[in-house]
Amino acid sequence: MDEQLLEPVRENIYQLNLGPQHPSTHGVLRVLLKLDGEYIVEAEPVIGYGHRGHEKMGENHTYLQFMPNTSRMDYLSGLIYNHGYCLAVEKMCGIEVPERARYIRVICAELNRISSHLLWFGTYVMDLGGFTPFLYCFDDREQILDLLDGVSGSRLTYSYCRFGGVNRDVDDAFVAGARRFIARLRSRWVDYHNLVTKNVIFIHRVRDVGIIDRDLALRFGVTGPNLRAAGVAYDLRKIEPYEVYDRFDFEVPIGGKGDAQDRYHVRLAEMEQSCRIIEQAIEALPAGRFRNEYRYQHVTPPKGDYYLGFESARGATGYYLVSDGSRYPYRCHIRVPSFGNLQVLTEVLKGTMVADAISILGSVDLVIPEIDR
Amino acid sequence: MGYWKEIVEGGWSLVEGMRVTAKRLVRPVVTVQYPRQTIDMTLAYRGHIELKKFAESGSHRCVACGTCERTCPSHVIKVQGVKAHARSDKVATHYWIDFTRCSLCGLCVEACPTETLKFSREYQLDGETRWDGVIDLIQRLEENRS
Amino acid sequence: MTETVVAAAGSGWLRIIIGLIVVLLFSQLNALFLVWLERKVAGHIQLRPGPMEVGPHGILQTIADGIKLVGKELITPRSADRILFVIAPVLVFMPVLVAFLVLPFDQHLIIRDMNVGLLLIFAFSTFSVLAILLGGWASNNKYALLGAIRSVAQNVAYEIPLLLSVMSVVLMTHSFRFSEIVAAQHRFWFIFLQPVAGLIFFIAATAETNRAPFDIPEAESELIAGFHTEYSGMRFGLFFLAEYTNMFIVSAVAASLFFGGWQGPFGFSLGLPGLVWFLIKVYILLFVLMWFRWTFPRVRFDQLMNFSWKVMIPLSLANLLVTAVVVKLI
Repeated sequence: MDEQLLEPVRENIYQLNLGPQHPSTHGVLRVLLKLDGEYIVEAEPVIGYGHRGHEKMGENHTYLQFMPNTSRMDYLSGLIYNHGYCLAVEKMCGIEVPERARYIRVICAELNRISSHLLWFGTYVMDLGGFTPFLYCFDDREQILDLLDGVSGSRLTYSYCRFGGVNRDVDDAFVAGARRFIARLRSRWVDYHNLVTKNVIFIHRVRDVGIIDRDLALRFGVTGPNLRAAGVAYDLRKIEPYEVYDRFDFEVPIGGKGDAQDRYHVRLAEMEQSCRIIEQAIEALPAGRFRNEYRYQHVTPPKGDYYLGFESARGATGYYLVSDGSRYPYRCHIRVPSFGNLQVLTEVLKGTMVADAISILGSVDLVIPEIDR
Repeated sequence: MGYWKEIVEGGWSLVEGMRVTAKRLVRPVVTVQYPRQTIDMTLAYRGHIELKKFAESGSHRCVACGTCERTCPSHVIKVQGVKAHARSDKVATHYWIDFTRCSLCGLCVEACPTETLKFSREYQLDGETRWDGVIDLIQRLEENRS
Repeated sequence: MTETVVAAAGSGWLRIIIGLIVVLLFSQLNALFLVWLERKVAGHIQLRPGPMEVGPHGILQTIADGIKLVGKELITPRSADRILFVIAPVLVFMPVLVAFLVLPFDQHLIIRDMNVGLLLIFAFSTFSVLAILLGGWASNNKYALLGAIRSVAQNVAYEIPLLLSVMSVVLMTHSFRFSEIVAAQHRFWFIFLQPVAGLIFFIAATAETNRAPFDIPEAESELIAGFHTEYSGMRFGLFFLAEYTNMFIVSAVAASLFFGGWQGPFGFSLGLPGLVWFLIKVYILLFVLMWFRWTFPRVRFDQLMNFSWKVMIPLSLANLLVTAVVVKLI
């Protein structure tokens, strides 16, 4: 770092630290920009400001004790992370999960995905200067948080899934609430489209901005909606179905060019697909136990290394756990989607304006604590 | 031709957007004026943990086994107990939690073999020092605050 | 009633001094009210009540905020150009006050009815961009500098359509004098005769006052706070008050030029005094400005320029040409 700061800079080129404290970097991301006027010559994301050592903590906690940490990495899709972690440990230990629990998990995870996308939608428009859609989205998102609060007792860091089930059973009020929410969300689209999607200013701010095409995306390991916006239908829920996702009928929305507008449309379409999954899961919700009779406290998986990939709201995520046969994992590594999504910015930001940089940063939907862990 | 079309369509899209906000302008607010109005916590709400009071004994059932202590990922709980005499069960005499470190995961509640733990539904917790986060659950139970 | 008051105030120096005092009081109170109104409008658009605590419906909130700002430390960055840094907030407020001298609040309620009133306002309003440039430059902060650069480019680009659209009104009335322009709208407001000019004027005025969607000099999600990033306390407060007073002035000019100033619609005054008509119009226009801000995302810098040079200037030029031909023929 220091060497770079010392090296002689070209005339008319100056450096700008976008972050670590900046309204639009959403967390403590620092992007070192070299600017020529308002145009970016070079951009280098600097990460690590929010490092909390989650992976190391994983090695010092038992498998169960690491559970609360998982929802704190990507705090916007905490339940999906919980879910993935439980799946990983269940795979290691061969724990059977009751049918009802598996459906409940899918419903809650998809609700969580919608809430994450809604928050992205709001903050993205706010990055572009439109403050109002942000609060409309929060109004909608609040309904999801209320629902999840009712079943898990928490609004953001759920710690809801358990090895072999979930923490609490869902009741009829939750099911009715979920149906009501879906109806409500669908009735809101027309307003959102009128307010944002069709707005000429918004279209000009996102169209052909920050193009991450197929090759670039694959080269940098971009996943999630950002990859799908480039036209690659890669969704772990479809490609390597985990849990009961193979029983539902849903589509993987894809874009074409891979610009910010495509990413926007892909995420909006994904919310609709999540609604479809929830509807089907509610319809097929079986009766029975929500959790195994035996409550797994301190599991000791057999020796070996395990990987389980799942689709979080931001892309392909995975837990890589190495067991040495003890109660503690020997190694705990998490593959986070935001890392790949962030690195691609070094290429994409070149030649754009500062205002575009904000638009691009927002459009790839980064959660920085997930990268820093 | 495209030039005029874009101006007219773009202008109209702005008017559409303004219609959406105007509609909201006259709607009732959805927020809650917090200190003056409060919302009830849901039944599932997870506050800090608390000792349950059982009707038959009029007290808690904590046997100070320390399972919660060992389960807690953040070493929040400190529990001590005594045996009244050599043959009797151990009974907890001290139960402290350091709420400042608690992540409200609920693992202790599930781990408790005598099911004497529950979540409090209190949410207005504040303090001036970090010691205000240390809560004596036995004392709370005796004062009937739980 | 107003005529007697104005007559009692006489003309000459006394009138100017009384006018200045009234203007100072009015501009400050008005700015405080507008900040409150903006927060209320924003709140209700966003389904929340806005300020509610200080006074009934939070009406005194901005006064409390003002007191807080006065009490704050005035921080001058070590590497800032001290003199310019201190001058800038004062400079931004001065032209704002001058503009009030020629605004026609009522038929006789003009502090100084100059024959070049319109020109005076636009001449002085350009000062504010100088203050923003000074503030941004003197802060010695890259974000502030970027904001200042943007502000200058934006103002240069938008002065032209602004003045061109005003010109078509001047062509119709043959006068720069506010009282004559307003009097000419006795039957038909100029917004009906000059809709294109009116629209261009209003859009350019939005850009001129750095309001959303053209608030790129202070774009908070891009440039932290733009040109006033380094300002604190009442120095920041002056920039803030100046923005709202500027809004009032452009709305007042728009009301006078296109919406008949103190006159009721189509010559009906409906028993309301001119001052009330004028203020109603101005506050409706101010509300529209606020409505814009809480609806639209921000345009990008180069798109803003494109819009000005490719759409607004050609349109206003064409409009001016048509006006000139029609006026000549009639």
